[in-house]
Amino acid sequence: MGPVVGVDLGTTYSCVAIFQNGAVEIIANDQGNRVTPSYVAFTDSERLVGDAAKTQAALNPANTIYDTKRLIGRQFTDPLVQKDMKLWPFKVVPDSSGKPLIQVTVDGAKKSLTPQEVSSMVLGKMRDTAEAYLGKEVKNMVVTVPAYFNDAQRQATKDAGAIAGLNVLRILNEPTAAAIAFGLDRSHAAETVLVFDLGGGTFDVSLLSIDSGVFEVLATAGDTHLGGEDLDARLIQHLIGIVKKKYPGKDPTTSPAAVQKLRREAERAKRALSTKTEVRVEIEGLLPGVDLSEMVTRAKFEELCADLFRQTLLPVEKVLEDAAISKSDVSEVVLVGGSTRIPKVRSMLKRFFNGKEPNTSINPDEAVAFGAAVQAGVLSGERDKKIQDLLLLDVAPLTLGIETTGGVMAAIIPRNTVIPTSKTKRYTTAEDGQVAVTNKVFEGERPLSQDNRLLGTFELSGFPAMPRGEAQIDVTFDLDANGILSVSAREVTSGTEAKITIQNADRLSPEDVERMVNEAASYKDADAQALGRVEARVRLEQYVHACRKLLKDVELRNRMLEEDVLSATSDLDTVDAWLDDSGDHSAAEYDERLAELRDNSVGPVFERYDVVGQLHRARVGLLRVAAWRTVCA
Amino acid sequence: MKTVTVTSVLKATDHWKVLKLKPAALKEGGKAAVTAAFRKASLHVHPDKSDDPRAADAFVILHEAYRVLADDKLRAAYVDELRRQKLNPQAASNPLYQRALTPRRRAA
Repeated sequence: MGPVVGVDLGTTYSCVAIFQNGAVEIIANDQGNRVTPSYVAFTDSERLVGDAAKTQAALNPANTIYDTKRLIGRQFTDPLVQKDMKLWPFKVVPDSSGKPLIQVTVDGAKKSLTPQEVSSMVLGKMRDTAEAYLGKEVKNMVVTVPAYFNDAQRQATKDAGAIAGLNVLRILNEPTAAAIAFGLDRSHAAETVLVFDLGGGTFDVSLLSIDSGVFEVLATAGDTHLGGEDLDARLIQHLIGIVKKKYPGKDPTTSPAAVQKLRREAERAKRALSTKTEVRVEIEGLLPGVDLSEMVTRAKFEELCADLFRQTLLPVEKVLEDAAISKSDVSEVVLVGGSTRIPKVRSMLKRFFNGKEPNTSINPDEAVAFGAAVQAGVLSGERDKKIQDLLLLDVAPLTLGIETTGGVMAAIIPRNTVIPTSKTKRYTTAEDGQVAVTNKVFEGERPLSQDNRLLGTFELSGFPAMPRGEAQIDVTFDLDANGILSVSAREVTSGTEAKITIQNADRLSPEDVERMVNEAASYKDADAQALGRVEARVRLEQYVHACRKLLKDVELRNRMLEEDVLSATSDLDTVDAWLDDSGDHSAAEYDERLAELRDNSVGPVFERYDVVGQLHRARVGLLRVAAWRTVCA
Repeated sequence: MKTVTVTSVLKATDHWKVLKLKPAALKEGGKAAVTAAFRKASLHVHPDKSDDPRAADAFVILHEAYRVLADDKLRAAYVDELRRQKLNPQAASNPLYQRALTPRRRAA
């Protein structure tokens, strides 16, 4: 199967890790960073993913995409999507079936991307990071999602992997993954652990029992739309209010670049306020003639976000209630996600748990990828002492059911049911000769189905006509280990498999996925071309650099004819000027220049002094650096 | 205690046999014994841990046994049900099928 990596696909940052030789390694990207921004940007010449995309965000706001995890598996009309759109500098439009599309301009032409496609680019970047480190092809992944993600959001995340040409072996819940990171090396007796995972965009709470390698989730709850981004948004609104007051008639929200600058500074200020009690936010030239310089105190920040902080305690109460466990039975409260660095979050939890200090022993940014890598090790059949007795027992976050008479929701798989699971219900017909039954599947906790989310409609047909009440149709709901539902049906009396069709507007059709896979492959070609160009340029630069270094060698200079030194220097200068002069040349042009230098101009000069070997040695050392630089370019 | 396997779970005729527990043992150990037996068995039966294609089915049965036996009320109801089945095998009802739902007519 090849290596299986674990990927934490975050709202704001992503992280990749691998379990090998009995240990987990977090894999740094080409910039040397252990987390990669979940950003994708389009410039006229190339597509950027990760650090490169985030760095240029303020310069290219309309074509820099982030936050797709907040769009994935949702409808365009979702009030949360509508609200988020106000602060996004990129454009979101509805497609013909009401799903959101992100619109960017590439080479003057408009291009629409589904959230799945954008996520696939981030996943592809994480794969490339892993491949560069492992030196092997990576085809399989464990990808994490918030525990409270619904069926559509999970399916869409799986589709994102498929578009990137990856096989998603498992959709793993983030707090569960974090629990593994916490519990893997603990040799304690059975303990009950509460994982509090407040990330960039989502919030989960899971209660687990960890007992000699078995991680059993007892209950989970959360909010798929609450995280650090929402705290940033409060700070941004506050700063916008100040600008408007100081400069009447000026509105930063009219400029995507200004909003992007505010976003960057708000995130920075928020982070600083976790260690300092006040911080100055300074943005020169926010708008023409508008400079912002404002002191923000921690107390002000806490006041702006007070209701959001309070909201985080509700899921904590819910999991304790669902699992029938009292606060005092919780042995550790484990913090995960960057936003748990906020002092107010910690103090609130401490008070809630009657003075119990939250456990900060795991790295809040890396724990989820760490756990995903361990689960990847388990699923790839890695033979290792540490994981051979390790097992995750996770649960379904939401109740799955069917609409019955009067629009009442009848639960079939209640929330917090251990997965994989399978439940069968028997149906019959209501009328003589009826040959079809239509049912609607919902997910959610409300008693009336109209308040829950429609997953799909299925129709049973193909069974023989019988008097009413005589047909016996067994409908089986299978929830797999990824938390994804499939439904099958069988008429018992006649023994026929009933035909079952699920129409789910939220899922991509296999044709859609295939089309996107092909498009992704075309990006790969474009990326490979860009990479080839950069590599050729670096090869040329390296050669010039090595030659110059040689010319500085005192011993050589002493025995070289002045004429040769001058001609070599002048040839090198010409190439340098050409390199500096204009934008991008093709790979072939760079190679041509290199061949010219090596075979016709400076190469033969050095040959005369018998130092080409030295030149070659110098280049070997440099090429190693070059390989690294190439990837980052 | 013998190891619980996919095959042993699929062959078992009641919840105790699934977990290879003696009904009498329950009174002493209670919930903790059932939980321990379930977790130990999971390491052999869960589809992540077994290559057997029947593992998913076996795990569903294993978990159901655990869910029922670990809960005093559900266990009492299960014992009643078994007793009724013994007295009147004709009326044996499959616990998988709870109440039937009102079907909906096909939309015209």
